[in-house]
Amino acid sequence: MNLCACGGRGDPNAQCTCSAQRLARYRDRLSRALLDRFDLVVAMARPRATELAAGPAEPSELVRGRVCAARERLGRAPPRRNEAADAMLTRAVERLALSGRGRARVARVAQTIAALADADSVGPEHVGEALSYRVPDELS
Amino acid sequence: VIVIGRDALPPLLRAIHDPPLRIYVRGNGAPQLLAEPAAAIVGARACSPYGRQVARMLGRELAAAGVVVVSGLARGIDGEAHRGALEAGGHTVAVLGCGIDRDYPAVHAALAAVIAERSLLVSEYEPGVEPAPWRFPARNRIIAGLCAVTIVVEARERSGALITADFALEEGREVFAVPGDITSSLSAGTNELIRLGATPLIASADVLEALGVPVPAPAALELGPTAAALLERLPASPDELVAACGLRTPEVAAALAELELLRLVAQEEGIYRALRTS
Repeated sequence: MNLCACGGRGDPNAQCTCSAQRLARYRDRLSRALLDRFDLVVAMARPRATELAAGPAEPSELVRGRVCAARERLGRAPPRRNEAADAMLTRAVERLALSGRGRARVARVAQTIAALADADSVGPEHVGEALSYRVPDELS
Repeated sequence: VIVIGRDALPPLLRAIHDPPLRIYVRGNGAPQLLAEPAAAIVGARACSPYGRQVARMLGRELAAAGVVVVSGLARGIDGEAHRGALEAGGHTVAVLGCGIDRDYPAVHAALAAVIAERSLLVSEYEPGVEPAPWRFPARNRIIAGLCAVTIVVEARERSGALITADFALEEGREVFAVPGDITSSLSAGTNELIRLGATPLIASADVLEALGVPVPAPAALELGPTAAALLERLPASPDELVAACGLRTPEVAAALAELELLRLVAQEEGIYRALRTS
């Protein structure tokens, strides 16, 4: 979705003309309860002309190999959180408004990230990356 | 709800040229709170992420130093300033443009409840008075009147926040404006204030000095080298940081999460910003 109704928010080359009420109404269309169920929320900048003109990126076939290996790993011996990762998750629950479901989601995403990286255990860097994909506060 | 008559108004408010006949005060904070060193933080309702985060940061830093943060409970800058002060465990006063018993705007009803629990809500209107656009400029004179310092965080040209700044200037109070992008219409009003002679706000310590409040020593930080390097590059998106620092995406994401948990950065609309003045 765009960040606002007029589409200007978040675009350095445009000015948002939405009023506070219009912005609130637009964002209210997705309830907090729904947003809480999203595992990955990634902000995408409008691509620049050079990026649009660039050739294809990594082929899906390569990505598929990584994903299959990670899935197999998760089914066989899923990586566990180490102590530092646990501490970070606890701190995140205290500091950010993470619900019980939110915490469980972050833990699962962190585990997937660790499996994709073929790590022995889930470390704080994986929890950190998972946290960076949660719904930012301003959408809630 | 208690009522304070004109003769018992806090000294700064009594000193303005048209002080209210009386003010209504609601909340668990002591009425003496209104006589303590206070700074008004005001600005646009439809603010940018920059304005929102600066307002929150200033509210937090000033309240942590013992300053009462005064604002108008509106959406945007006002609400963030109140929240920042509450986050720091400090005091914040909301001045309403409607009856003291009304929660306006409705989206800030919960915020108003927390402010009432920990600090004070103030209005010159008796219970039951409806919010009306023409009451807000009058409300702004009370916001400016309660404070020795008024800070405008973001304002378009002809914004209501500029009215608050005008009241402050008329009473000879100090006005700070937060400098912004010259290409952002949301900073047109604040940049214009600076051109007209308002002090550009570079650090919250400047405000504390203007109020004669001791500046707390900055807390020592123990940051990893990655986190420290990223902090130097903000504001930026994670992708830009990956490109600029030659790091991998997971490293950047983990370091940003670490910084966010330390409340040193905040993300909005995909851009991470430092929550401290550099």
